[in-house]
Amino acid sequence: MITFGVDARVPVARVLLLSVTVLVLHVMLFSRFSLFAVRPEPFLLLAIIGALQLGPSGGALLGCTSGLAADLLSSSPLGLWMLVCGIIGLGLGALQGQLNQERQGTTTMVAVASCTVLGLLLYPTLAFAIAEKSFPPPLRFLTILVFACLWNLLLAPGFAATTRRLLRAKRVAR
Amino acid sequence: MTSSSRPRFLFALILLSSLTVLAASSSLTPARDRVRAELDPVRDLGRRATAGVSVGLGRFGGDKKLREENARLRRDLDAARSASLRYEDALREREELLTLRTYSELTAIAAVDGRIIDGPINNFDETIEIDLGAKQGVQIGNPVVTGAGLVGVVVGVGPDRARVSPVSNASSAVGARLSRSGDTGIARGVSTGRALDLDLIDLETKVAIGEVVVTSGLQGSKFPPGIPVGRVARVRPGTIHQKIAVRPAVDLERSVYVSVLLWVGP
Repeated sequence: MITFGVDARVPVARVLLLSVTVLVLHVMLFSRFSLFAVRPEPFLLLAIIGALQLGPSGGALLGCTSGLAADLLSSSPLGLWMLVCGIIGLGLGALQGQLNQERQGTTTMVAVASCTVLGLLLYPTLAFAIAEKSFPPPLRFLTILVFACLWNLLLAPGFAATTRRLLRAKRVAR
Repeated sequence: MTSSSRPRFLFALILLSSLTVLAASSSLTPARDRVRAELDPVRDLGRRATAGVSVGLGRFGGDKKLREENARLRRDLDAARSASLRYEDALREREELLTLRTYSELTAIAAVDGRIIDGPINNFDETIEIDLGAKQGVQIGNPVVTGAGLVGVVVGVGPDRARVSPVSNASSAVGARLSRSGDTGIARGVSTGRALDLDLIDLETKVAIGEVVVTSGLQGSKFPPGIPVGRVARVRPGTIHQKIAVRPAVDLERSVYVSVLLWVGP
């Protein structure tokens, strides 16, 4: 276990286990969910849920590891998803304290929707800037944004419950 | 470390580690391929499980035998279409007495037959997966065809699977030749399933809608000559060259069977 700063202990082994589990689940199951040829983005979802539950340090670490897992399956250069999910995990984790704690369900759903869209905008932008990969055509891109967001919203409750259960024992109250 | 400086430190850490991984990306590719190969059995497991579900649903919406027959008929239709496209191209070659290269070159190339088993694994990936791999002699760079024409090129190989980048993929570029004029250019992919952009065709060249475009096979080409790429769908004059859209010969949405040509370009 490592400690960043004074308020958050990040259960590294559990974070790694979560990322590997999502990798296996995506390869076996999630990649087969397809609406208009759009699949869920579980790695991005894990970074978002992790950030909401662990704060900036844990969110950043979970984002980086789940992003690296996504990179293993992508044809883009390794590191792109790691950067995107890491930034999302850190950014959302930093905002975590300011989010409405009384309506956690709504807050989680709004965070999942907005951060999924943000991540899906960030990834092709970085892929274009760093790897010179072209943007998907506008209509296809819009379809990806809408349906990946819907998929992630559908998967979010299950992810949140599983992640909370797995990480709760190791969380240290702020 | 103060709480205000921590996010900045973490951001710098993420940036640094991601850029390090990005910089080492090409040397880490073999490791990535190995991980993918290790995950192949997991993917197969998922495929078999979901195939069971679709067969179950098929009892209400159709029959497995009907679907198999449909796939076979599509394959036959593709072969007939391909023969027609090749015939048009062969006519031009005969007329111009330039048949230094014949289809024997193409047909002499050894090939292995397989099936498309999986689509892309994520939203920004445009590769498809086939049930042929290193065990069947497939290598990176092998062209993949159906009866209708060119599908794409092998970009990743596992023991029993290979990933194929379709010709309409945004990163694809194919040396192409117009069947009537014989002019050569480069057909670049835009996005999977969309028309290709054919570049470098002179403004003076007469190009007809529906004209067949085949692989040029010129020196250094990734593909052997004469494989149908598609048909001209739209022609517009540009400033230096014509802007030509080519509708791919192969409809990936409907294709099931493919052949991998055991041929690697220079």
